[in-house]
Amino acid sequence: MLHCRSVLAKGLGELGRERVRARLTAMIRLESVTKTYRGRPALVGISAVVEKGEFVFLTGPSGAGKSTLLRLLYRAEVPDAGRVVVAGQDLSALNRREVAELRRRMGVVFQDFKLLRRRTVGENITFVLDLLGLPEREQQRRAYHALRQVGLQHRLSAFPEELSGGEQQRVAVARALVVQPELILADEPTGNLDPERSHELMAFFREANYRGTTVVVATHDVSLIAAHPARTLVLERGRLVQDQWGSP
Amino acid sequence: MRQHLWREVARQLREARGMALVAVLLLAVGGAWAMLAASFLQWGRAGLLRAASQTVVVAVLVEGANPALLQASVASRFPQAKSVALSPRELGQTLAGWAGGAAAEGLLPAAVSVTVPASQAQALGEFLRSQPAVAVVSSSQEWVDPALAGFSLALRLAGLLATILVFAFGALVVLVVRLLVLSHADEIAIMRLIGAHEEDIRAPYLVASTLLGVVGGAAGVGLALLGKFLLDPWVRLPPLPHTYFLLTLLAGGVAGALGAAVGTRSLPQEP
Ligand SMILES: Nc1ncnc2c1ncn2[C@@H]1O[C@H](COP(=O)(O)OP(=O)(O)OP(=O)(O)O)[C@@H](O)[C@H]1O
Ligand SMILES: [Mg+2]
Repeated sequence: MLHCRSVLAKGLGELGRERVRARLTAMIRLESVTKTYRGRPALVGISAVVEKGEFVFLTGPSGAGKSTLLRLLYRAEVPDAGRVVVAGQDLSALNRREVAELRRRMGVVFQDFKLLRRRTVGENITFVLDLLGLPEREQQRRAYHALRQVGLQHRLSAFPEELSGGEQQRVAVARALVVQPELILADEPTGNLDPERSHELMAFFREANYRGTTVVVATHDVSLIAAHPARTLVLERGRLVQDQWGSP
Repeated sequence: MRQHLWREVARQLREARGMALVAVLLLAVGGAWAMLAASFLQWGRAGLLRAASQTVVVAVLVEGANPALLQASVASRFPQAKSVALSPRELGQTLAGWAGGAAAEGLLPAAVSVTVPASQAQALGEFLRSQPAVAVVSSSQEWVDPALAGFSLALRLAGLLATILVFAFGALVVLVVRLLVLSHADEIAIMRLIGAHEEDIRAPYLVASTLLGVVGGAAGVGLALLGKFLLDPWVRLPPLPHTYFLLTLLAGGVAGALGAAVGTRSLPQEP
């Protein structure tokens, strides 16, 4: 059943790629991006383009710079050199307000989840919908659906710390998916999940991708890439060493 | 934003409940004090001014002198004056409060109390002092002027104290908001990362503090009304003007909002 679903989603992903190919434009453009932390380079001269509607894996060993690259994309960091362009906007030229507006159009799954600890699971989800100005009923409806998708609709009024690591991760995924973003950036979204949940989650990303969302998934889990082949960027010690199809 | 805003406001008030209560009490006591003091002092001053248009001069006679003779000579010199003879008994009653047993009836001389327009008080005093039958002269003007000055000073001091209390409330709000913001630093960072604007982050603090100010002001109004009710057997204060109520609520709200604005002026930053 589950397998069937992921195969279907994969197929749909291919179909979706065909459909958007006609109107390809870059969602992400990295031009010789370099980021250094106190003299130690975390990213060195990264150049890459991710088109609208693409599904891309970002992989590499621990410390390779995957999270750093994603942080540049949602502008939690700015590069020391080079340019980061997302959805046609040069991120270093944005003011604080524009950054917030851009982030509202993205769904980010953070490696450490970043759930609001003083708010319930339900409020964590409706919060981002509220920022989008959705009416209350719509917020509730969408939050419920998103949580049901990740199998947590019964934990709606629990607080994040009452959930297991894997459950928190699924809430983080639900929060990213619920806004129906143009771009999903997921940092180790399956890090705390069992293989079954991991594949289910990939199916959600595939579904979103089929609907036109650009998806970037950072993972060091090669088996995940093997099971869901897609374009894969391989980082090693801050350098982009391969840009290929499927697992390295 | 409504639902999230109100829930966050409720959470913040719950988190700050001890200090929030102190802040509300400060404002309530300050507001009630200001209202009652202003009302009392204005009432007292108005009474004094009314009384001061007429001056009462009391002449205590030497032993054996006839009050009626003095009354007649006063009436001929000051046609507008109204004089009343005080028998030793009446004088004794008047003085009993502070002279005690010594002011027993029979040991006291007679006295004449003369009421004249304030403008003639000086001349009347001099006239009475020149009379051989008069032993002591005392004019109400001697204490009206210092009393008026005292009332003005008291009014200013009361206003100052109330202002200090409102400022203390504002300072406490700044402190509370600052502490809340610092303890929420991680959440504020996350809110930014998921697309919140600065005003989305500030709004709950602003609303909570303004609410605290308005509630404190309202508590002050309640306390003032209670105070007036409790004082009623001793001091018949005029009804508290509604402008006082509005002013107190407004002062509380503005102090709360300003406090929050200062407290959230610098939010934890991201790179
Ligand atoms: N805030 C920071 N300050 C200093 N160094 C940092 C900071 N963030 C990352 N680094 C360094 O940058 C390099 C890349 O880190 P990054 O978190 O991007 O790796 P990663 O590929 O996501 O690893 P993992 O798979 O373990 O999550 C590491 O060497 C790390 O020590
Ligand atoms: Mg990482």
